[in-house]
Amino acid sequence: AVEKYSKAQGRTAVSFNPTDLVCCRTLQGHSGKVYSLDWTPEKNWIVSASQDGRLIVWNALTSQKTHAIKLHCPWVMTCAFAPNGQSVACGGLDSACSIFNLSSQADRDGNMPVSRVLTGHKGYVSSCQYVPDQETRLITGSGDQTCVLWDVTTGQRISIFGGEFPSGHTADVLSLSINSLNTNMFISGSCDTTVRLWDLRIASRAVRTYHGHEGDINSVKFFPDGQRFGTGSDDGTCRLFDMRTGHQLQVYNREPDRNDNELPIVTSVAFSISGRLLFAGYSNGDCYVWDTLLAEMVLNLGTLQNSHEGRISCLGLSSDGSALCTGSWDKNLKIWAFSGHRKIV
Amino acid sequence: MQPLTRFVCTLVSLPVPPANSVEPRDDAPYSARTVPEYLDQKRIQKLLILGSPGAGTSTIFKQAKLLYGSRFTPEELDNIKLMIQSNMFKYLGILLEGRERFEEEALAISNNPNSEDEDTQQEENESSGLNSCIYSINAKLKKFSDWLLDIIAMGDLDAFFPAATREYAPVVDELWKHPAIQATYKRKDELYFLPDVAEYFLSRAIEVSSNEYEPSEKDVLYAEGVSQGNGLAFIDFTLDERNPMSELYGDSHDPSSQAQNKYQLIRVNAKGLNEGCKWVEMFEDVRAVIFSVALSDYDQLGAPASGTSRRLENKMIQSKDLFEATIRHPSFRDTPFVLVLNKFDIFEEKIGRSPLTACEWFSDFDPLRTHNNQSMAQQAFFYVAMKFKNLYAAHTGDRKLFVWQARARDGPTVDEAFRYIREVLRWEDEKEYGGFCPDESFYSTTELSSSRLVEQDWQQHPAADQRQGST
Repeated sequence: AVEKYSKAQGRTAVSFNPTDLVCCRTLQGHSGKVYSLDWTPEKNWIVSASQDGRLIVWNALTSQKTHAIKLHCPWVMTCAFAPNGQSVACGGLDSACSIFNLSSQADRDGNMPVSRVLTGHKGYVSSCQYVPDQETRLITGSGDQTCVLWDVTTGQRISIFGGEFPSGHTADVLSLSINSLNTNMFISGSCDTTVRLWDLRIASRAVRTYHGHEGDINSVKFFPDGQRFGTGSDDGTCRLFDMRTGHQLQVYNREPDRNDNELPIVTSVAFSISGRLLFAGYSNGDCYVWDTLLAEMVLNLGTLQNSHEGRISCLGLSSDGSALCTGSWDKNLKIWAFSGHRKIV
Repeated sequence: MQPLTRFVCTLVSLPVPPANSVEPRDDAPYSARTVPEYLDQKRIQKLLILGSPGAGTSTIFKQAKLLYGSRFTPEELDNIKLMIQSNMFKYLGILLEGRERFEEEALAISNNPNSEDEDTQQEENESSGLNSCIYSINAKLKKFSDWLLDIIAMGDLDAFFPAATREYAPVVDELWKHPAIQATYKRKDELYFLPDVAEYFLSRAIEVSSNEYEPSEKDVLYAEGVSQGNGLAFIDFTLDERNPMSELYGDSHDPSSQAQNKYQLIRVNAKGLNEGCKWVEMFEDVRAVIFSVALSDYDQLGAPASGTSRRLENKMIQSKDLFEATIRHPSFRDTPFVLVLNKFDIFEEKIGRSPLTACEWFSDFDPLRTHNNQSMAQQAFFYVAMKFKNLYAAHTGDRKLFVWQARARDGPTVDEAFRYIREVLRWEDEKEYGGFCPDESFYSTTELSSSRLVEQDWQQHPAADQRQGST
């Protein structure tokens, strides 16, 4: 494991003081649990989706809400920003992915017209992500066990990954992550406890399947070097995998609860810019900062002042790596910034 | 009950307990308690309806829309029409596959010199050549059959249909009327995936396929599913105050309780609830879960709900498993459940010839002998209700399961079901806030003529059996 090697090399854990990462903004406005969030690739905007049936677009620096979009189907599970920051996509129990153009006019009631609806999935849409640098292509993951690559301008399915073809997932797909260094590759995590690697050019079979987890995989994220990826699962652990060899490089295990309660599940994961830190959100409101090399937890945002009061359902790092946003069932989003002297890791 | 208490109830918009209530367990007067969120005038009460495929959830949903909601829009009707057309080809595919299977078996028997099957020998002699039987079709139809079965196997049905419906309608009609297909359909009990509505649409293939076709209300109800994607569907509606139970109390509800009459019915396709039920958490806030089970499923087999196994399973057992998974979900820990035992008419029709014990969960069914299907059906209904109630009590620490009998294609029984559900919610409210707390067993099941129930219940509620309305 990575950890043994690093310790043998004499590496020490990144040291974190509680003041190194502080909650500098609380974004209030949703009246229901927050389920998903996404940052813009360029500006510091965030889109969040909530059980209250709305998408809210926030200016993270000023906390201002620039858009509050009322959704036709309030049971939304995922949202994503387009690469140019001008559109947002969302999906959920309606089994469809809806696209909104942020420059459209809202009507008197604040309803914004949908610019396109991507239909075809036979189950709920759990996750969606635009292909980086391509406004026109988007990938969705679904409860129907497939992932689909869409052409947003025509609304057509370009490719279907899984489903009728063998080597697809055998249970609901819950999350996906596109490799930003090689945008032809993406991974999907599923309730079948595996992660599968796909090549956009070859829909007929998965490139590789990764085993190791013992429960539903709620979140997958590529490591910054595009050679590895991290996962978070119902089994309470995060793991690091090597994309090419399939090896499980590291398991990030929590200490069991003193009261012997059930282990909290991992809902979401993200890496710092260098990959040295892995942020993991848990169902009990904890947000661990893991030192990826030494597999040690160096900070728990859940114990800091001003932390969330409920499950962390989603989190993500801004594109310049200077801030982390967490979303929670307590209806709020919080922005955590590295304080002044601390270098971005 | 104290006049003061009644007055205070009105003041804070709480449900008024009936006249013969006992003193509240809690000593605090009503005015001291906080008004729960869902009694807030503007609040809509959410109802989630779930069930295995074929249990009738989409029918109940569409009935509710027809009864209480706005009419189906032209767009929605068009959507349903496309769904009907597409499904028609799916049903034909199932028949064609069955036909092939039966033909193979029949020919194998007739070509076997040791066969004692005289009928097949006769048919074989009647038609020229050794290779045909009642299930055979000509080359042209066989070509179409092969093509259709191929595209279905590849999962490409929706690439061709409903778009090509009109083009192929004559073939569908010809096939449906063909003796081979009719002979196959006679053995529909062996065609596990053929829904009972197949004949309803296939027999009108030409009409259904024409451009001018507009689904009637009946067509809408009979169509499988609510919309093509079969994703979540929901409607908001209000129920007026007409209350079949009010004569039992001799006390009409306070007008302030109108506030509680706004509902939102949410129907989710429950495929795959057994595993990965992440989305169930989104329904923590529903006021009740309506769980629909098709009574007539006890002797039916179906494809496994999830996993990679291809073995067929008993559909009633599948419903039981789904029910169990649902009631055990932490999100529904405190949510009342109303079980709707649906398709009672089909159940009643076949209970005489197909024993309830075909389902292994019902192996201890030991009814009183009777020549009367109606009476047998009632006994069987009660028995099934009891099995589910016991299962529910075992998992929830002895909570009571509310049960309603229905034939979802019949509007009035669905209307009665929703009014019953409304009463269930009111009883739950009253239970929580003290006051009248009657023995729940006499209204937790609708029909009271089971010999298992005590006679005094019959005397207390002579009006009850009028509600049942099954025959």
